[in-house]
Amino acid sequence: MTLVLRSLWNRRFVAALTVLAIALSVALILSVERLRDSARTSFANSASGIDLIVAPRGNDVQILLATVFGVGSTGAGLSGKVLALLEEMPGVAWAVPLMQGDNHQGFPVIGTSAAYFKHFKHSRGQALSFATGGSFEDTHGAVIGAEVADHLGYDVGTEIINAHGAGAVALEVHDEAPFQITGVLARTNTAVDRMVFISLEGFDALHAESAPRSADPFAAIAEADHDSHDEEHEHGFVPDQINAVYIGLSNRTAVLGVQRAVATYKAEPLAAVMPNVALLQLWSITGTAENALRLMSVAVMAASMIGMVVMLSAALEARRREFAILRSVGAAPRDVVLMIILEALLVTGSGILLGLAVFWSASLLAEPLLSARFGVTLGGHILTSREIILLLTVLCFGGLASLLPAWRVYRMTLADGLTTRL
Amino acid sequence: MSQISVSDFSFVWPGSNAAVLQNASLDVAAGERVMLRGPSGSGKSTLLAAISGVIDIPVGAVSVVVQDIGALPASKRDRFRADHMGLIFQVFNLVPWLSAVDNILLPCRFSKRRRERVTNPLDKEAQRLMAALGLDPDTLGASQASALSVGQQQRVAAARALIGAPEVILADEPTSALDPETKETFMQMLSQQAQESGAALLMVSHDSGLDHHFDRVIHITDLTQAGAAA
Repeated sequence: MTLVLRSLWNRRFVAALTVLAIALSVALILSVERLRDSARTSFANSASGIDLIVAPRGNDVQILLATVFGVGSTGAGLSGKVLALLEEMPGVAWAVPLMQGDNHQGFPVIGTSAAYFKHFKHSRGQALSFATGGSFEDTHGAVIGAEVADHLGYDVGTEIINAHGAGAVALEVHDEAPFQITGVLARTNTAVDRMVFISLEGFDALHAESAPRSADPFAAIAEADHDSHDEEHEHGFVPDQINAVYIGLSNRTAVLGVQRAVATYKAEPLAAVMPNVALLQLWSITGTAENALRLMSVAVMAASMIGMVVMLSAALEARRREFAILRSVGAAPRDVVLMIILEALLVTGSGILLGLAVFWSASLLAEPLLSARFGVTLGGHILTSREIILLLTVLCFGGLASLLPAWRVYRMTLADGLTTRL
Repeated sequence: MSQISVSDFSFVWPGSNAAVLQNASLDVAAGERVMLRGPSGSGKSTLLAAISGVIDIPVGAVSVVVQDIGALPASKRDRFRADHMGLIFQVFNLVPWLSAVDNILLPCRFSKRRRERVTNPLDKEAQRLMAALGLDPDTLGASQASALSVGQQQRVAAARALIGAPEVILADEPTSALDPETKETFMQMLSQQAQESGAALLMVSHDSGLDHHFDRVIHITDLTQAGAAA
């Protein structure tokens, strides 16, 4: 054992490079796996408790991304009266409207009703809760996610100004309509952390005050129409245009019926998306990329393993004499073979340990960035059992790979015996 | 009592049809120093290989310390070699990345018996042997084997062969890479130490100038004749 260490130390430069190669590939494999898992869980966690998402007809995945994750938009809007229709459908327990299209310093701004905070669930059925403050009560109230609060240093009482558009670059700033923060949500590690919530009235008021339906005179007339109608509605304010509606069912078995009713709605082309189905679709899209990444990290691992075999094999010729000497002092060919395997295991093992160190420090560094940008968290657990199995597999392959040079050594020592020919 | 006993030993290398050794016989007693001479290819090294148990030999041909080498399986022969024999080769005897002391102590790693026969602490014993062979243990003990001169390396190899007082020391032309003066002192020290530990020394060499260090000088052809006569 000490002989192995000394021998490796003698070749420390090459050995260190090999260890480094293995370490990097271990870190790569772990990161790919961890990112994939975390992305999946945090995406899956984002859409709990919502049975259907109703939006203008479009791609299911796009609708899901736009509503639940605040990425992109649903395209066209749907008229506000759909909300009332949905609420009256049999089997529907609740409906929460969503308005989108604005951002606050790059964080998506969602116009919704206070019911959102009651019905929206994340991480296997946990309800949203307020870290400080409470729901907005009037047009100028706003609720922000934990990440928004942390990132921008906001707290209850801070006044914020929203900008039009979904990007980080504010094209048009609604500085005539500031909002006052009434509550900060507790951290959920989902997309909600990155959202700013305001009331439907507030959202609509922004746009009404700035450029009322631009150049379309008919729209203005229609708007006036709706306003008079909506005032009588039990919900109070309902804008004429919303982007999507979250629906919760009182009875899960009604889901197909409601979906069909929405799909066949005559007045507007609508779609009702089941979040879980849309997620599966999303995975099938990203699956190809994931597999490519995994394949690549496995290839990198294989390359570093080959590197180790090359290191061990290349040294064999030069170490022939060393082995002959060891045999002359009593080492059996078996001992020499064990030395080679032990060397390989040591190199692979230290590669794995270094790789873990690289992986952990990298994820510590990347964690804030990832959770801020994508709501994806890596940490929480040190190693999953799956990852441990993965690492053990790597170690086993290291041992297996060493059998090739070990076998050559075995034949060599048998053939050479103690003769120390040059 | 003879420590090395070769009787009626013939050997044909696999793949060759001519025997290198035919009916060779030899006895070396404890404490005896024997020089074996002969031209290249006459089977001297084969004989050493047979005694040290590196090649497969028939049962009953060679015994060392009353153990029939041919009767042992290969792995036992490795163990037996570590326990009872010290070997010195022509050149490159040392593991280059180990220090002189670590090289000397190598047999003690593989043989418990050799380790236990050393009464001093192992490091001390290695240093004592170095000093006895004319090496300064303080300056050279920790230096890497690759940093030593050839003459120094051979002495370290001799110390390694001697440590733990094995019964038999086999030397295969250990002096051929040394200059005449170093040769002389090397042989002097080796034979003295071998005598002190009571080991049987069997050495193969071309060099007739070293004959006076040995109790007996045998030509390889004498072995076969003696064998044939017996």
